[in-house]
Amino acid sequence: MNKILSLILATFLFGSAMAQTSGLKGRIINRDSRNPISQAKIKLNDQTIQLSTPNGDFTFDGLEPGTYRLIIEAPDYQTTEVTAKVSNNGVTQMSNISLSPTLLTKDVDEGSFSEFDTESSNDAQALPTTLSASKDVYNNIASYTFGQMRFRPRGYETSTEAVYMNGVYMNDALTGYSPWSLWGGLNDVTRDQETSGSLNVSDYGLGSINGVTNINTRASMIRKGLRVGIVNANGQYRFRGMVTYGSGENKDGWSYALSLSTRQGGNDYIEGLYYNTYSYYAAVEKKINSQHRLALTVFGAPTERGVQGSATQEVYDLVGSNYYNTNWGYQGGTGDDAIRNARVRRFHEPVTMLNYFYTINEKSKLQAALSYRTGQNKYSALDWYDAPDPRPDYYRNLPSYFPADAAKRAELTQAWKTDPSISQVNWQQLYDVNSIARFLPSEIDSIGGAVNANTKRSKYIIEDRHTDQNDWNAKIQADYRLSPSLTFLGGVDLRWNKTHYFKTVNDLLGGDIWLDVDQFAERDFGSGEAIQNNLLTPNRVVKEGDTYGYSYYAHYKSGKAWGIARSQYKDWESFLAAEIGTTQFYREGMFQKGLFKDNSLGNSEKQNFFTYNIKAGVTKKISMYHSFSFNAALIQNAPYFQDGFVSPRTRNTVAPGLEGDKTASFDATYNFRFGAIKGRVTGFFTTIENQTKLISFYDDIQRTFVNFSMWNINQLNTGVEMGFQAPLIWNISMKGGFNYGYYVYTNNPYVTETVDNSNSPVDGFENVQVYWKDYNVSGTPQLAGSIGLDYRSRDNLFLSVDASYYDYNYIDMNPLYRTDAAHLNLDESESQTLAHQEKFKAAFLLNASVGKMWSIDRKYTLGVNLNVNNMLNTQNIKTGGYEQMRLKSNERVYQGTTETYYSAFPSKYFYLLGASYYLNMYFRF
Amino acid sequence: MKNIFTLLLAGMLLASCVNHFNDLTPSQVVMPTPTTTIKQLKTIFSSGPVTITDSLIIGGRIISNDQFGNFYRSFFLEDATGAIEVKIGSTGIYNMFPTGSYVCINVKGMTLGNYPKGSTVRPTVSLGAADPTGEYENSYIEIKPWIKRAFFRGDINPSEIDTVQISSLNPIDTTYINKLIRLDGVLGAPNYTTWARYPLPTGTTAGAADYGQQAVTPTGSHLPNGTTLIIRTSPYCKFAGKTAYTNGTAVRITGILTKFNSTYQIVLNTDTDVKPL
Repeated sequence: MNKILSLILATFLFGSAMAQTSGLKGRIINRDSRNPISQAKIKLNDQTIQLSTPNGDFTFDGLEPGTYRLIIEAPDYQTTEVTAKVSNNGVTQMSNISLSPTLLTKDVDEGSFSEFDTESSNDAQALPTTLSASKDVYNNIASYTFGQMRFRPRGYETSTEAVYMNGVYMNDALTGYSPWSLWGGLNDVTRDQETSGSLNVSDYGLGSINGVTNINTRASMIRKGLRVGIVNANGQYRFRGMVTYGSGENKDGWSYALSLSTRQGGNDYIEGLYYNTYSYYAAVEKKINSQHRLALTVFGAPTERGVQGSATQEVYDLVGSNYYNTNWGYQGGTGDDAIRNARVRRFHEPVTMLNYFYTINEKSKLQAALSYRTGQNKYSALDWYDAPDPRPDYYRNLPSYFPADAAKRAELTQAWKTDPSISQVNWQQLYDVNSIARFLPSEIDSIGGAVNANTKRSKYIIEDRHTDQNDWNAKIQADYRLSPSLTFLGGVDLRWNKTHYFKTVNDLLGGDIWLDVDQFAERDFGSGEAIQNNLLTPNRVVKEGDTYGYSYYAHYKSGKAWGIARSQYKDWESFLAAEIGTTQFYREGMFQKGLFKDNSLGNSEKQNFFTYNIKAGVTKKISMYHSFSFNAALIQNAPYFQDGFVSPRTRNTVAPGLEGDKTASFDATYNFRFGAIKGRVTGFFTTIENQTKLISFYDDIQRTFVNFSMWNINQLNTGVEMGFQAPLIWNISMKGGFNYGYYVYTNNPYVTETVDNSNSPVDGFENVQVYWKDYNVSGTPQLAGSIGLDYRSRDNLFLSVDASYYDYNYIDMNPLYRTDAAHLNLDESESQTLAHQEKFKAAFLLNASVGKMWSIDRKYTLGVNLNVNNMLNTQNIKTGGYEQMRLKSNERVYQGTTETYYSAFPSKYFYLLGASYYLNMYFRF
Repeated sequence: MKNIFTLLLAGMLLASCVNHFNDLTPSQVVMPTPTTTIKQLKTIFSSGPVTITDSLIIGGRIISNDQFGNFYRSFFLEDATGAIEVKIGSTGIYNMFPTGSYVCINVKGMTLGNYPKGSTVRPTVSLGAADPTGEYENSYIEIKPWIKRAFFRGDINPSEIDTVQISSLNPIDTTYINKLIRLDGVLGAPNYTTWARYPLPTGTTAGAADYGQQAVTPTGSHLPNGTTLIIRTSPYCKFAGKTAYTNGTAVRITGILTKFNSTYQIVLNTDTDVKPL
């Protein structure tokens, strides 16, 4: 580390003495139409960036004589690399650089991934961290190819990928999750992305350890012209329509852009999954003069999408499909129109963003931004009161629950195969129950006049769990170029977030009212204050749209000050960056919970955390085609609000062991080019320590709802990643990517299990250790490799095929299975079985695409592209899964004594879709 | 271009109309006609277990209520000839089969059995599924497809329940076993202050009291083989731990009459079924 820092400092010191006098200029044009391309990004030796003018022109001044590498990037065009020699005779004029239009390939957005129900996700939507459109060969493969297996680069959580829009940090304030769903469907206007490598820094901030993506959506950055695109697919949605218009900048300095899009329908595999989404975007920008620019961007994506539930293998086998979805049932018929999904995510969180740019002089720039996110985000679910579990795959409804009764197993098996009222949610039965449920006379007395003997009391309802955010971001940033070789960036990022967590009644399912009491407390305490969800409105009856159950605010604010110094010389490049910040959050309860009447209403103690981020990197160029890079980062993050409280829905109790996690990361890269073969190899080593995790679930042993607070979780993520591309013959090129990771937990963290009703620790579960040292981090294949061939003809016919292989993908672990208490009375073999972490079978996939593009009158472009994923139609590839958060309690007689012992419940899985296609047609001019 | 944007905007406005489901009306059940009575059904049993092979249908009203947890996974069905415990195996039975429901059951494939195992007392026979373990004479029906094909619920009319008034003139008799009875009596020893308790108070030892076996001496009536019967409450019921009436209190009790070996028991639907006189 010290050596690296010395190198970095040395490069800073040497650089400022150098002088440059020459320059380079040229023009970027469309290869087919020969028209100039504006807003193309021209990178000089990977560092200095220029944007082409409306005439496609660019100029680099102050260069020292020598050979330079230019990489030209523009949305909808193939990235092109050229070398240029700069002489000492002033500015060198290059010939026109022509870019080939790209065929619009499959868009990878948040819609590319099913959202899965899990028991521990706290209803937040966590997407794989591979949605950036990177130009790096490896990263590109990781997104477009590995992504289908929910691959996570370097095994990191989604929160480690920093996503900016127009320079504003957009990751969710309370979970850290990347925010791609906010602009789902707006692919045209989010195509212009700047990405930085994993440990690198960006022009907008330091990021974390998983790269930085900045999406340019300002009106002036949107490609001029109209585009219309239609997608037909059988993966996540059936249809997408999108229309986008960019005005370009007119002579008065105005530019504007509009985009509308919709995604509709379900897919061929999973019933109940559907999209009903619309997206809108409008932006306007004014170049006030050569120094000042103001931009306003507004977008939103009103979305409704059905969600897939996971299931055990027994269930998949029963119905004969690995794409069974437990969440839906028929309502009012048996056709597709009658499929009703109980778990639907609905959100509309419009974002408004104001950007100001001030070019002070040639060396100094200032930019400021303000963004506001608001709206609704709700996730529906079944709720029920003192009635049987309505979920069809509840374990007591399965043949395996009757190991000794062949007749029952046979009848259940047959029913699961043939009767949707058994294998799916039986909506009719829920309505039937609600139609006859009445209040007891004693209940009518205690509730008052709101109900009578004829009031239909809903025993089953659909609830909406809201996470409604108000999120403000403010940012100011200054860029200063001290010399052509030395640049300083610095800024201040401020954030305020107030999020309302609550639930409302979505549908009473034929009943008249729902009584807002806590049935778990009622079972334990019978009656009285304890059973009230809100003592401020005891025995409150609620109807559709009313708030019930819980209601609280998360208050969050953070401030960060950061600075980046970059130096760039002939053979050396380096950066040094630091950020310090503070984060504060607290809970504000809006309900006075009967069980915790002194600890639920009002504000919790404020939790304050100091954060820092230090990064450094150096690149040594051996030649123009070979270089070595070394990057390092040391980061301390604040914990997320969602992990901050033992049971945020009920009380202000802070989770034990709440501290920020600490990350140390290092990577080394060799960039190479041998002839036309180019690529990179990177080794990485990361430790993440002191993480916390909160899981709430129904504990069958305790027969009550519990909270599982884990802390001091340490992990190691290390491995190698590699990407290359090489032209072969006849316009055929080869590209490949490979990742071998080793992601394990490195210690035995602590856990306290708390009874939700009493805030008291479960006997034997206070500050106990979870033995998962050396177990694998789940959620991604740790080995992934791909090799593919691309063909592009001179008349814009595209063909590509790739084969990929994945292994070392592990199941998400239930910490309970690795505690002493769970291994009570087990022999060694049983103990090993319970503690074993399942590794999924390796997977092999074949994908292909074909496309053709026509240029009409050198003005219009018409394109069609067909992607087919999983061509071998393999339908038994597990992409994820988790151990259920429950233990099976058993009894047996051992040496004359009856003893209790525990065993695992079957795990739940998700499977990759079989062969799926994505047909994209578009027209643009 | 304008038209394209307008079309999409119109689509967005229409979006809220999609995926709305209308409320369903209650199921219309085609009720079968009973082909036998509960009394006749019990005559099939002489010693257990006996699995019924004929397609027989019984019909009657549910007289028990599991809402308060004192009945668990079974209900009691009565017709004009008698009553029987049906081990349906569901929890929250009252949600689908509330007290007073008229229910027909196709008993083909079900098993008549007795408890304790080996008992030949025909009135105490219950209806359930065969117990493959052989531990009991029958077990719970439990699985949804069987319940769906064998149980049919008609109207719900609690006033149609025939509550047997026990008195000197109408003493307790085996013919009333499994029926809803009402009697007046005096609570007797042991003197428990609460209904069944769960969990147990710290320092107490599990004993009869925790299962709510409180004696009652019926006023002026006669019990075969004894002078008292037992009020049976479960430690898992919702009123477990609630204050009960003290020894010597004269009460009116309504509950299901059961018999275990030679002891008559009265099982409460809820604690308010015991009222002081």
